[in-house]
Amino acid sequence: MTFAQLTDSYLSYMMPEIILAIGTMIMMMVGAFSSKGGFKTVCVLSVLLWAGAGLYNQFVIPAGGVMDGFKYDNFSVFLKSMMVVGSIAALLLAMKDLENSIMARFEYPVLMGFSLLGLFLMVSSFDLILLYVGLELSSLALYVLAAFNRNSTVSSEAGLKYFVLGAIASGLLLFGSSLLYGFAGATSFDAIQNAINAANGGLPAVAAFGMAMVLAGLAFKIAAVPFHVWSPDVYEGAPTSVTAFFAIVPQIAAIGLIVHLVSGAFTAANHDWRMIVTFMSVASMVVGAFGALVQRNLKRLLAYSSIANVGFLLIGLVAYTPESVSAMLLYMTIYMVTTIGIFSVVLQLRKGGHAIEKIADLSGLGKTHPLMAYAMTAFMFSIAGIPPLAGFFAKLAIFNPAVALGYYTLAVIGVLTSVVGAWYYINIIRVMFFESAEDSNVTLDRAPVSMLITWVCVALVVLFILAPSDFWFYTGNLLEGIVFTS
Amino acid sequence: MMSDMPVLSLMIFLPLVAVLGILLTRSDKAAQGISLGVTTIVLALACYMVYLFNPATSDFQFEEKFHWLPALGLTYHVGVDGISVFFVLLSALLTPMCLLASIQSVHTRVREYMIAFLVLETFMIGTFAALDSILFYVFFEGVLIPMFLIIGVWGGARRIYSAFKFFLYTLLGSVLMLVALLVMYNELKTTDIPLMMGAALDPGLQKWLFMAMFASFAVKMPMWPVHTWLPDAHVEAPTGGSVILAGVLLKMGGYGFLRFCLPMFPDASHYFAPMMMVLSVIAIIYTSLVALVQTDMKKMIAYSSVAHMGFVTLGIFTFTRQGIDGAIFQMISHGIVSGALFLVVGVVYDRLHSRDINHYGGIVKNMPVYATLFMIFMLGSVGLPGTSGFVGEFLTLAGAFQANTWVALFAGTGVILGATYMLWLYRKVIFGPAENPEAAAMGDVGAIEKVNLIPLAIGVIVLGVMPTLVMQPIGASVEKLLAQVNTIPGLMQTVPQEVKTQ
Repeated sequence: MTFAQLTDSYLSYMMPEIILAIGTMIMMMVGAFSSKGGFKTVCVLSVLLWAGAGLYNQFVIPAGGVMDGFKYDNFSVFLKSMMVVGSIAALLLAMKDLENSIMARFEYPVLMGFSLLGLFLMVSSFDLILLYVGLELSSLALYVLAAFNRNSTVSSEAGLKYFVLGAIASGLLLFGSSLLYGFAGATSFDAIQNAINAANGGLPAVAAFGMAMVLAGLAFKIAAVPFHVWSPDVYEGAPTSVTAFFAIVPQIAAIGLIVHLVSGAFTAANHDWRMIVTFMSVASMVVGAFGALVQRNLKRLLAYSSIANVGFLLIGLVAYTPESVSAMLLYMTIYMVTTIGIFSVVLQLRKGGHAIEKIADLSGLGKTHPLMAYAMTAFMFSIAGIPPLAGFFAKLAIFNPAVALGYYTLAVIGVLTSVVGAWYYINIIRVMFFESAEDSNVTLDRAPVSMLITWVCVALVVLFILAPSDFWFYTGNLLEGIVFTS
Repeated sequence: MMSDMPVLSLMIFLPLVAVLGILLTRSDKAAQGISLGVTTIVLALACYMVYLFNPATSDFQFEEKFHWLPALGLTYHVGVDGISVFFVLLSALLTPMCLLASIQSVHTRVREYMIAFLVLETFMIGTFAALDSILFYVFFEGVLIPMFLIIGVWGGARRIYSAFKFFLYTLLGSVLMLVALLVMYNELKTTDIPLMMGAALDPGLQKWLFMAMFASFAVKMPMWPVHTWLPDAHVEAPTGGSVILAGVLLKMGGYGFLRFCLPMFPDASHYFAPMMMVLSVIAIIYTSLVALVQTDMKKMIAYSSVAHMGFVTLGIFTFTRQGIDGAIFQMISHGIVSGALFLVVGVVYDRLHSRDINHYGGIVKNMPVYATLFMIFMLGSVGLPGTSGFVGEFLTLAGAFQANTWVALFAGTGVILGATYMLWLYRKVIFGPAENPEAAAMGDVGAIEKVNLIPLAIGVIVLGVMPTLVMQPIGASVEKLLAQVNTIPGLMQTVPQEVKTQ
């Protein structure tokens, strides 16, 4: 079979996943058989591998559709490209941090690779079986990553907590899936959709239970309240470079999957899932905003910040119009850029051989390392949603469709919690600039690649206002495969 | 009359160019030179714009319009009319003065200080020039970033508390305005301010929108009872920060009422006018009384600002020609007078590092020029006939008298109280026994301080004698505003065709 024939066949649509799967297994072999642990080699090769899969995904895959429970529409393609960018950034940022510790082992990029593969499958899944396989593959790799610093009890504890709670979430998801299967008689999203349509007179109880269970399982993945309790502990306990990966990548896949799920399987039940999502959105915004107020640890703070941001993101899902889903894409992209930027700063600042952990470690940074402090300031104002930085446009895009549909209360709760959130973001600026460094043992571990990433992120955040192109506000052709009710 | 040069855009973006210049240099002196040079050019442009301004028309002038975000219909649309033109000039005038004043008082992080003020100037001019509601919001809220840093980094002992209070108070108000702007966008399908002014909204909706906007502008203004951030922020900010806060930032609230609330929500404006008047009168009397007992010079001036802003809101919500003319004039005058008063306090603060009134006294002997200038500004603040302060207060009271005699009567007592505390301040600081030898030994104002203060003093007197310099250019626009707000409630204007078809 020639390559041309191969690319025309079914397999070609899954080529990025196939590249990732085979490539990552080869990486494992390379690592196992290289003499000096091969950490650096495997890292570099992994970056190339992911870039290859990403480029293939972005540029070679033909225009989208769905094939045997595998959806390869433009929406999935876009999210996969985002995840590739996020994973590459997370690995590049982590390399220097890991080399300085005992964690420089080749399993690290390999586990990231498998996790990425699982997330790819999640994004594309249009079938409950594939959904579960993708989710478990990525989760298992993430559990191990969370416990990667095996000499640290905190890290092991984080891994264990994540695993136990994750297992419960998986159980919920499986239970929900089996209910849905029992209801529809098939596992594909289409079949569920048809069964719901066929059952005139509202959503049958069994399907409603199934839907709620599946959504709960996925809410765990995005750390939406009330399924968020794991996230501060895991963010804190996991090695900081792993936390960066957690914060940047997995949410993208889970959000993509939720959109596919409500579009493919539950379009007819949009009143029911909207209720669930509205609750999660409000609860996440409130818990995220107020929970962060009392944090002393930077990583816990970022965990709560992430919870709050998921709340904002879900506003887009509540509105569920083409504009609002476009806004979710914009929000995720800007959030990803900002988060990469924040972690690029945090991972370069070291105290006692580790990346800094406490907010107090940042004190006086404006004096000791002004450039890093400026970058951090830009990220903080952006994530607080203050114009003219990029984060403002993300909030604008998210709130606008909600207001257009008359969700005034939701929008007002959103903006009010964003004011509470602003407190802890500008608190970091206070620590950096308004306080003098008392006993600053914080050193800047300059890594050229990390520095480059930092300043690219700063440029994106600051200059977004110049070209907030239409692409971001109505990504029409990205949403071709998504079904909207109205 | 229109000039081909994009004056407004130049004024908005030249400071940002200067920021790039400062980033490329390492020396503090060069940074000061660049920023002073550029802000002076901006001031020259502002004067040129006022010179070319056509007072005969109520239309927007010097308009520029480009697509910015076509998907949402957002445009980069700037322009000025009679209501905004002098605020642009005021911003351009006070910024170089703050930078000049900082040469003697700011010695740490000089380059960053210059950058913060240049960015601030961009946002201030942008706020007054913006004719797209989202663009307005970007500039309006963007102001928080440099101001927060200015108070927090270069401020006094309680700077952290003050910076946070300032930031969170103002942010809380503005986010509600953002929701209101989005609601209006979805109702009218436009963010173009001139189109929004013509459109008629449902009176019930108007009330909600008015309240959301009120949350933002009342905090910014500030009106009683949400004024408490202001004394803290003013006291702790460095001299330049206080000048800009009092001189320009407070005006954004009044400008917002005139630009958004009155023309866009005429029914709601009439509905809420009694509340606004009561709040204004409370602000005038209450904060004047509070000012009476202050021992901190900056705090006293800060409370007097709240009282003076009370006259502004009072004038605006009379919906009379005199009231609104007076409100605008009062804002311009207060911008000059209070800005100058903070500079005046800065002069002695730089020498003695104390703001306590009791630490001063008898300084007239060694500082005669200073005493004279201080007197002019003090009298301007009191509202002595012949100074700019008189015109604004008189007109707003005249407007209030037409609306409600009692309101005018109570507000009038504020003038008396204002005279009491300002004269007391002046007597304690300038005359009185020279109890503190250090205070008595201070040298008179230097060259830089003269460059700053003398033009402002001339401004106070010229505007007091010839108020028509301001009154004439704003006339046409105020008439148009009155026509918009005084449509008989219930008999709504029809939506302009352009809005309908979009």
